[in-house]
Amino acid sequence: MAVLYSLRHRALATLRRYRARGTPFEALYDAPPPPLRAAFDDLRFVVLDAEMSGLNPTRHSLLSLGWVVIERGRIVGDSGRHFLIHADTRVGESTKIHGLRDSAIAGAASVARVLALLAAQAQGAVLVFHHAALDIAFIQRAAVQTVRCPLLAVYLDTMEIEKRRLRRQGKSASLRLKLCRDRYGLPATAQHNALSDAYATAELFLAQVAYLGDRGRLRLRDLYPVGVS
Amino acid sequence: MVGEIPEITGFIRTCPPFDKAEEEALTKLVRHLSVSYHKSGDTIDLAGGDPDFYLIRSGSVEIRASDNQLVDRLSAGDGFGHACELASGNRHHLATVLEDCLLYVIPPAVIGDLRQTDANVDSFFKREKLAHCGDREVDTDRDYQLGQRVGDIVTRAAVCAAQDMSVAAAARLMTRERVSSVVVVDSERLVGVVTDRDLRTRVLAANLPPATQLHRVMTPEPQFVTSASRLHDAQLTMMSANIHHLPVIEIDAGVQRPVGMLTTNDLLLAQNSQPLFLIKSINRCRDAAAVARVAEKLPALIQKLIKADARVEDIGRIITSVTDAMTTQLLRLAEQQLGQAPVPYAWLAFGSQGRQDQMLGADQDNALLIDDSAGPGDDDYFTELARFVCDGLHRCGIRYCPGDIMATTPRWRQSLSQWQQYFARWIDEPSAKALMHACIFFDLRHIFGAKDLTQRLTEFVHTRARKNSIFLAGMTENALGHRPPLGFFKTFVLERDGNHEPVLDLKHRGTIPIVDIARIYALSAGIDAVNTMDRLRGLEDHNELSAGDIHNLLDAHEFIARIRIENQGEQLAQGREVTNSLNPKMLSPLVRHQLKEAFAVVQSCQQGMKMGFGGGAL
Repeated sequence: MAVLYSLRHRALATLRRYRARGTPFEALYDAPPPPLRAAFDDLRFVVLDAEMSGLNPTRHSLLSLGWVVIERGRIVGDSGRHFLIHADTRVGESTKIHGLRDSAIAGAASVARVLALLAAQAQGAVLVFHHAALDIAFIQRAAVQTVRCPLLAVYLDTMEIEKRRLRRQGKSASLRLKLCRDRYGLPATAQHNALSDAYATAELFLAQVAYLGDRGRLRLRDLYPVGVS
Repeated sequence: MVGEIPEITGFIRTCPPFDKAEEEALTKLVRHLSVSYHKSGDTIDLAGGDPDFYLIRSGSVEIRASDNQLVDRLSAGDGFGHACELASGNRHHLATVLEDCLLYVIPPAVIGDLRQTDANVDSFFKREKLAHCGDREVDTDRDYQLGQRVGDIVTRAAVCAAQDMSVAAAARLMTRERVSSVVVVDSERLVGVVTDRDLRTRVLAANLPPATQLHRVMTPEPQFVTSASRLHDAQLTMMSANIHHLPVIEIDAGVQRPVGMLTTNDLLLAQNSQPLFLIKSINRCRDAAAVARVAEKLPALIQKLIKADARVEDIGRIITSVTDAMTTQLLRLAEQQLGQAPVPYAWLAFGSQGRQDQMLGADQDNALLIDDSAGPGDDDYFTELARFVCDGLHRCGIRYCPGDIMATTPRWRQSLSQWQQYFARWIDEPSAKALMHACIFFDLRHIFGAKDLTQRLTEFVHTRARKNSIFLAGMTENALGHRPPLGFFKTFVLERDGNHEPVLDLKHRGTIPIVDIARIYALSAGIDAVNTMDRLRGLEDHNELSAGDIHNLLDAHEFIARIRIENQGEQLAQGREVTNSLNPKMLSPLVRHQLKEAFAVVQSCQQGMKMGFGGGAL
């Protein structure tokens, strides 16, 4: 059974790699994802936040994407990126219809370009979200629409880490980003955009890691990776 | 698409010295910076060759130098690590996180570059170096107090209430126990806290019935400290959460069992306990030289109290209690050296020590009261004892009495019956000399030894003096010799001091007249308090002096004493001799005016006293 599963898994992986050929995700599909035994300090994390026009991935679209990078357990000071995205996800048509003028005025980029930049960052890294399911759904839908294959990455959810911590303590409390941060004594943040929220999530993630035990011995599997998608 | 994270840049822009840095320099700083999170208790080793510079975004840390001396406590906006060298050449050695910290870490090279290009940043780091040197003494002092364990200062047991108790019952419990908060427990386990304010805001203002159960209005899962935590941790917790009540728990088989409640007031008291520490260390001294060394710290403490605007009455009591402790410890040491006294005795204090309003620069006024059973051979022992103690006090900065009113003088080292004769003579035959003695010896207080001896003497004195109108008239006349320094047109009457400078003598012209007034009225009313303020307050229950006069005198006393002690604090700070003389030109017009008003109060009370008890012409 295990052998069959393994074969099927490999076959699918090869198929996926084949599909990703020539897309911005090619390198991502070729590089193996970090193993579960990888030590926290050796890992590179891309902490992301997305803003959407609504909560339904089939009807609404990505408006902006922001991220910061954590390396050797620290947020990298100049790793912050913030992209406004064309409201229309069908990038090809949108350029035809609106031309470049609108987007240039708005300072917005096409979703394909943003995803390509993200893919470059995500290579060999672990993605981190607060409430991953929603953001992932939007990103993958956009990826499939524009690149024709999903973003391949291991990702974590700070909400999940928090939920487990509270459950272990026999508590239940709000999992909203601000309230989670309050519990770790993190300062209040003024702005709310994708970059600010990504940065706020990164701080929360570092705080959570500090409370998960000896950082030197912490491995990826201890951080409840949600999965490879 | 930007590289900078606005949160980071925004914060750095508010922190000196970076607040004045060029945009370009700031961009460079942010580009090389990283952010890390550290849990309370974590340490950051700064001893290595060239440590990073850390800017605290949130939380707090404690910095120690290589000799493990506490250098500083830092919080949001402060920096440490690289380039934070101390004047002593000591470097920041170890940072311990007191409160979970978010730190911006800046590599040393970036700070180095910035110092090269930005003179402002460079001078900041140079200044930092100097600043830490001055702070050191103060900080170790504070460290001493806030380093205490919570368990040591929380004395009363926690007032606990079950979570199903009604708010009405809790309110009654709190009233009965005289506390402003209760700990809510679920079979001994801490589950919440209810404070006075909660009863107001969550019960009364919310219109809840008195039968509401506590768990509905309590603050659930409150912050807490363990009795083993340090006070500064508790203080930080309270400050950061903005709460005034912190349950103290002990973890017992995994159960958080409340053992007390720490309030902001407890913390305040703990921090103001410097005199207590001084007294405690006096009590630990093994010889007279050690006592003298501890006594050296008193002036600095008094200066601090003056700066902290402590009430002069309290300062007087503090100085006196330290003097008392020195006297007591010297007596204990003397007894260790000379052996047990052959007969019971009491050590008495007079004058300002007796009245508990000692100021700096006071001299000794003491005496020995010996049991009547003493034989002629016993005086040798007491001579030695007196010499040991008086010499010791002199070395502690409490000078020998110029008028020899000390236990070393044979006349003031007498048996109870002899002392009773002294007082009887002063009271019955009030000569000028007798009245002068009476003024000193009537302010008598027991310091050490057989208390019943002192008691028998004071009882004798009070029954004898009370209603003895000739004696009181004599005392009044004597007291009128000390007039407030006010001329006919409310101008100051100045005296010449040693340097022939015109000065006001605040002690003899200001404090002493009030002390005299209080003493005479207290003797007349049979009040056995010795402290001037206590005497005046005690007079409120008698008809001798009007309530208005009493309050005016209390205010005048505090005001004059305040000016006197501030003047002394200044003299001390300038390294000059501590005196009671003040050049009125140094005072602001308003204070001069108030001082004249205070003197006028004394003047009118002196007149009233003259009317009441007779005495010489005024």
